[in-house]
Amino acid sequence: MAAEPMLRVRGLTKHFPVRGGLFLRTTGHVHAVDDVSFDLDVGETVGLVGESGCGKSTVGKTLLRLHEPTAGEVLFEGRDITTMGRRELRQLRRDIQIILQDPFESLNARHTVGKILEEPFVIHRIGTTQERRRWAGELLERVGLSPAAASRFPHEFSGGQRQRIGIARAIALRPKLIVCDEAVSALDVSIQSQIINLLLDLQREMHLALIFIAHDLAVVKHVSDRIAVMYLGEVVETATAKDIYASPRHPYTQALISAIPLPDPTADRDRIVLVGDVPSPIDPPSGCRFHTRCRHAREDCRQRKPTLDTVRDGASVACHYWRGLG
Amino acid sequence: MPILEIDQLSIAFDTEGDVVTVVDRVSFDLEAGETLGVVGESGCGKSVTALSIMGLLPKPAGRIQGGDVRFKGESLPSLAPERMRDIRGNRIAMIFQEPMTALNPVHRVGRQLAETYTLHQGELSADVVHRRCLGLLEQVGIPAPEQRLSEYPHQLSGGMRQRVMIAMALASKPDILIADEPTTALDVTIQAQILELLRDLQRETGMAIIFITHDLGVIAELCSRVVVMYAGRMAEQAGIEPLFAHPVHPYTRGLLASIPRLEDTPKTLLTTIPGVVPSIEELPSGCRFANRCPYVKDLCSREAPELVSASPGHRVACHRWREAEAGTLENWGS
Ligand SMILES: Nc1ncnc2c1ncn2[C@@H]1O[C@H](COP(=O)(O)OP(=O)(O)O)[C@@H](O)[C@H]1O
Ligand SMILES: Nc1ncnc2c1ncn2[C@@H]1O[C@H](COP(=O)(O)OP(=O)(O)O)[C@@H](O)[C@H]1O
Ligand code: SF4
Ligand code: SF4
Ligand SMILES: [Mg+2]
Ligand SMILES: [Mg+2]
Repeated sequence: MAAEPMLRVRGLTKHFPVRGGLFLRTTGHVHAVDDVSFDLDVGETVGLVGESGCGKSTVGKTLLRLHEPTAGEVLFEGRDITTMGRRELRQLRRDIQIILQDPFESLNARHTVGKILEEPFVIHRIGTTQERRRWAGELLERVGLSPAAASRFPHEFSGGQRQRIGIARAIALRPKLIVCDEAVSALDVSIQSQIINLLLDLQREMHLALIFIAHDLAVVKHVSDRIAVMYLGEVVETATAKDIYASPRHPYTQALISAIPLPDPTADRDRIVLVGDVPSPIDPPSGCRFHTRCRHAREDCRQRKPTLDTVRDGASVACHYWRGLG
Repeated sequence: MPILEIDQLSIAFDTEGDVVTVVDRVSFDLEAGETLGVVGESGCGKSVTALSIMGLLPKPAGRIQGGDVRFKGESLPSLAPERMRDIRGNRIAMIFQEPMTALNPVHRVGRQLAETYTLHQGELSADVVHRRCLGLLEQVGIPAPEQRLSEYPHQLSGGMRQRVMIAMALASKPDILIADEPTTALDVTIQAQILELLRDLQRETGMAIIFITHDLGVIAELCSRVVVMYAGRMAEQAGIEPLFAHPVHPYTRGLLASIPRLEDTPKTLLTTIPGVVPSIEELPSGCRFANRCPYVKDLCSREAPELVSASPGHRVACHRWREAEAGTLENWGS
């Protein structure tokens, strides 16, 4: 079965219950992720982009089973993650890692960097004490830090250096897939470019697959092979990274791209300014979820939900009227 | 005469017995009605500079260590506190990245806006105040303003909160608006709305804006002139087009070269600025960019470069500015 991709996500859905009232009864659901599908191959990067709250992080967390999915299938090397038992999940957590915006949010700040990097080997009972120490030093060197950093504490490092440590920890067990959730979003430009290059290098060297989540399309575009644009929990367009910028098809993608401030004062372009805010995901708009802000919306967009249709190999769009938009 | 002159301004913090100079002899002018950008990476001193103009440095640790800030010729640091409060309320207003820090979470939007408004315009009948507050919310493009007045800040989206902040800042019809990363926490489509709003308001009111950001895209979009800061000092100042077309300072050149751009080929390595900004405790005595600069020479680590005029309106602090200006310095990353 050569054609089977490494990761195959089908119809992934996650609704969070909203509780209210005296007895905290479920009064509704946040439609965080609705019917998301994509494939990912060895060494490839899929970028997830969209405004905050559109469900990017929930996709990442749900496919790692950090959230239980409401519906859908996530096949990793042919096995369905959504039905895995504890033992299988343990193995999975070696193969799939996640890197967050601030890698130390969830880590013990009182541990030295060395201890933090040795921990994955300890958890999975790999190597001797001496080996683990040596590996931690090698990991630090690989991400561009001095092995001497092992004896220091996370708070002694700048944001960029901390992210290097987070990456070192993520690659420790030689994973096959890393979910990068806003991993470079908080970094200054001069540091961001260093970290992006590090990720690109590691990907090449280790044949890593990446799911790269960020709200900055210019950054996502730079690291991705293919991109999925999300709006209110749904994928509205997929395309190659190159095409998404050159010829965006969905009105939302077009607006998103046109809103990006270009570092070029001579750039002369037509800005599409979207009116209003993103509607609530608790009671998302009927029909096309984008219809409340879409400048091309017609009467039937309120009722009729567009499906994500393939427009050509690897590209798809969920809009009734994309053909006529030019 | 410029409306605001920042003249050799130095700012220090007392921390555990040490005096740390975080802003070192920064000088720039603001002309009436213009938008001046201040750009630089986090920690370079942008916010502290803004707070010192407002007389809002955190006390007692922070203070102006040297230099002056003049508003219409009048020195602000030496003003009596009441007079400064008056200028801060009526002539110079400020908005921040996180409006929740400036809004009171337990009071309705309407009450806070009304308080700000009467503070500036004196006692007026409740009815007049209400109408003016509605007008302000309309002016900043808030839909259903009547309803918003009775809501609490947490009921508003990030973009709406920032609009409320802008409305409060506008209540005094200020001559200068200092905007410290007001769109950094917002989504790009909401940022576009706020930038458009600021542009419109400036056209209507003629106020000058100091726009602080780390995003050169936003600078290019909004500003006519720009100050580039690095590690507490000014690296370069220029008109917006010369800065982007012919950046002189190596830091500016590196910064422009390392931005991921939409038109780049995906998955190619980016140009980078190697290394990290020196920490404020270990600043070198010479050029503060020396440890990251590909053009560094001996003189750079011995002597801090002065800010000199490279061409009219274009100032730069680099020993090798003549070569950069003449185009004989190789390109960044080549
Ligand atoms: N644990 C949770 N419980 C309830 N709602 C959640 C939870 N996590 C996320 N959400 C909601 O799901 C939606 C999608 O969130 P998220 O995936 O974090 O978006 P993004 O990463 O694109 O900013 C948002 O409306 C968010 O408030
Ligand atoms: N309250 C404070 N006490 C001590 N140092 C401070 C304080 N506020 C800011 N600083 C220091 O001043 C420098 C400039 O900070 P800031 O102006 O906030 O940077 P920016 O806004 O450019 O990110 C930094 O080194 C910061 O650590
Ligand atoms: S389906 Fe209608 S509302 Fe939705 S994006 Fe297309 S034109 Fe706009
Ligand atoms: S003074 Fe020297 S080290 Fe500093 S920016 Fe100029 S060339 Fe580089
Ligand atoms: Mg997220
Ligand atoms: Mg700041």
